Amino acid sequence: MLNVEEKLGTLEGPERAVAQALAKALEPQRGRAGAAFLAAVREGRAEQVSAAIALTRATKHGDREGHLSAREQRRAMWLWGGLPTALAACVAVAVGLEAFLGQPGGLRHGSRVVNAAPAAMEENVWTRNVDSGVVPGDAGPLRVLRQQVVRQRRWVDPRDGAVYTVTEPGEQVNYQAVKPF
Amino acid sequence: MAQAVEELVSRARGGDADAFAELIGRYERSALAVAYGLLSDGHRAGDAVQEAFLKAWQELPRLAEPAKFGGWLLQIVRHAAVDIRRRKKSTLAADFPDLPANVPAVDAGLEEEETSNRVRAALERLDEVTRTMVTLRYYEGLSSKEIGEALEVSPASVDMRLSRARNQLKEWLGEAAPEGVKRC
Repeated sequence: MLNVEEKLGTLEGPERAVAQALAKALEPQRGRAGAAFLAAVREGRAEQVSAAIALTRATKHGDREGHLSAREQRRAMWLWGGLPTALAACVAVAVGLEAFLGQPGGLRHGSRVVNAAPAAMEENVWTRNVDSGVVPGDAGPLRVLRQQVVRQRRWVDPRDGAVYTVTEPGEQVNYQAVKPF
Repeated sequence: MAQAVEELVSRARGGDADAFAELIGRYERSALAVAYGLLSDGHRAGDAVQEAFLKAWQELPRLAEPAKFGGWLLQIVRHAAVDIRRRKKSTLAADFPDLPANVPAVDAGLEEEETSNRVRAALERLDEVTRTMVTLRYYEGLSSKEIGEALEVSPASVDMRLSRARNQLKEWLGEAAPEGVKRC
């Protein structure tokens, strides 16, 4: 009588053949796991994870190994990944609201005069006249003369020694009548 | 008096190896059945169960509910079986026991061996879930309710699959046997 027949009753035909084949395949394997486990324990190869670092939460939908379920892992990922982003967004909104609250035109501007005039200012001007050729005009030929000016101002802030430079390019075009021969 | 599973698990979580060895004794057949369902090979099923129990011992502190030990363990067994399947190629020769060359074959023994081989081949034709259910029923003797709890399916689903498997196995095992071997 097969062991399983104690539970299932007498088997016949293909069912008995299946039960015999399974017993033949698996019965020789019994005892291996127990022996291997005890040998591992004796040899110090079987250490349990520390309960203090085990993070387990059994839930209705958790997986059988007691780890966080896939749903809870996704939830945790969204929480911890999204939390800094949400905080940054809140800060940005708060700063933006502060900037726009109570100001006509919506833009707050603050300024004060720190120095009526710089202590010293240097100005350089470069001027160049360029003959750009002759063009036909309504009353006769016209010579195109371009006066190109670059004005540069430089000063030093005495408070921190910063050097400020402002460069202004400019061009003035003049037309001069050319007397024909 | 047999201790409750929860008590054994609680003791094992505290490092009691004897308690865990007792658990191995109680769940070994089910574990072998599940592993065989995935691997169709007794030796490899034994390897998987061996690895699974060791892993279960190591991870036991992570199990929050001792009452869920059975399902939790079978999950580990399944993972171990899948790992073994990935690591090793299945060779049909591994299913055949070694016979000395000079031992004359006895008709009855040869017929029995051939029947076992045919049954194993028929079981391999089943899908993994059905094969696992068949093994849990005809090796461990579990009821449909117990099989359903182990595999997280309804008892009705278990009954349906087992019924279909019985019909298929009858058909396959009733196919023409190799010449010289009587049908069972």
